[in-house]
Amino acid sequence: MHLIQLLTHSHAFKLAFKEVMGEAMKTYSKIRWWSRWDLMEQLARGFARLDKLIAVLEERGIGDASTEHLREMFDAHSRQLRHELAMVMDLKCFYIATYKLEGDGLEGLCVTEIIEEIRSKGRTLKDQPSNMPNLAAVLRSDIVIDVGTKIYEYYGAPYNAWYEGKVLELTMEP
Amino acid sequence: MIKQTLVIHTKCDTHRENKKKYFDTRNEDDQVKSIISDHFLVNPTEAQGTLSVDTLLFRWRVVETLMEEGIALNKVEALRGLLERGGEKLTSRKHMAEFIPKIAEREMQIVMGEIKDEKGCIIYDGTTRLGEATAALWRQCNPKFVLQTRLVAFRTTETHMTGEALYRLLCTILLRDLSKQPDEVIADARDSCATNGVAERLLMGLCPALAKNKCVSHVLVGTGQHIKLPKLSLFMVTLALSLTLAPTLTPTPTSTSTSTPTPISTPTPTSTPTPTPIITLTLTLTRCTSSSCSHTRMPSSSPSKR
Repeated sequence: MHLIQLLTHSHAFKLAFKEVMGEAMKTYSKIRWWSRWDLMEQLARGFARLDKLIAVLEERGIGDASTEHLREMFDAHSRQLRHELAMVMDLKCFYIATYKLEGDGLEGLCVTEIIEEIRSKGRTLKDQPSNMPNLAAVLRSDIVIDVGTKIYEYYGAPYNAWYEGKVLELTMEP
Repeated sequence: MIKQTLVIHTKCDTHRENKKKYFDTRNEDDQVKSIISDHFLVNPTEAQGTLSVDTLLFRWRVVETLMEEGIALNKVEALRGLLERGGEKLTSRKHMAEFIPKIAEREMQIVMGEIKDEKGCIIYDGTTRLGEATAALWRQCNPKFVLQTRLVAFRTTETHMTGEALYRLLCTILLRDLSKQPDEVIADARDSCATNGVAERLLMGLCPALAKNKCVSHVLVGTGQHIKLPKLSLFMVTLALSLTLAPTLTPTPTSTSTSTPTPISTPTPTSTPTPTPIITLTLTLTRCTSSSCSHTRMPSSSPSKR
């Protein structure tokens, strides 16, 4: 992560980043809370333009061999990168809670409430895709629903259980 | 007419406030002057000892203001022309710096006056470098129900401190420097560092009424650092490497398969009407619990650790 600190001090890179992403790159600090997360979130928001950013780096010769590796890595793992970046956006509750609880006032009084909010999210994580909306949307877009696709679904009373199955028929709902 | 104007002016709130402020400043100035005079009576050979008390007071105030605002003292050379327009002369940075211990001592006396006989909380933390700096804060609720936090110690050590050493330092600060009774320390606050934990446990033996507090924000940050993002971390390091000339350190991608980059989706609620909403929902769940995406299980396990 020291390297990221170096990165944010490179003038040529900063210029290229602002040009392509449309906003200045956030500075990285190893002592500021969630600084790495800030950068990741910026990458997530500009994921569509990340390809172009690497192209600009290649074109201007910033980084030599490392940029080639960056390109290889991006091409090979862009799908997983996209999933991880989506998850970064979904787990912002930790980030928000940290800054809510920071301060010299009476934040101590809301600790239980805020932590319990995160815990309840954790407990219901498997039940509702809306707990991780970005990740759910990204994963969903990767899947083509067809006859034969395996599913895992919850049936309410009187069954109250999860069942595995597969799609037998596709119908359009009115 | 003029008399009436004066009467109205002296009755207004602004006048009363300004008058109070003026006398407060005068009182404070007199205190500082007496400190300066007393010091030079005992140390007549020290530099600046022959100057008038007003000049010394001005220099004291300049150093105090710069320190308060976090401005480096050598900036005084650049500001000299501006500051001397008031009529009082300044001196070199080295001589100005001689006021620092005197100011620190007076500040400490003010803090001591504030925290005398009050029950409160001791907050401590240190850096993790070889040459360590440790800070201790005192936090209390004063009789007017205002929360006050005061820096009571800032020490630098040559080597990294152990838990026992930190405990000894805290004892010195509390019992000797602050003259606190052990039962007046009713709480402590720290981050999750093991050294601070050892010091806290030892401190519990000294202070019978100690309530332990751990910084929640630090715990949350720690949780974030433990969330594994293998490809993203590698990507960010490679991105950084592309700007440094260290190709030998470049991580090599493990897979060679290619796929077209696609833009990230915007958050969509699950209730979005789709042709087959139920099927879509269950598919997402299936994917979430598969081994290819193990990270989604982490948030549920992380809070339970706390």
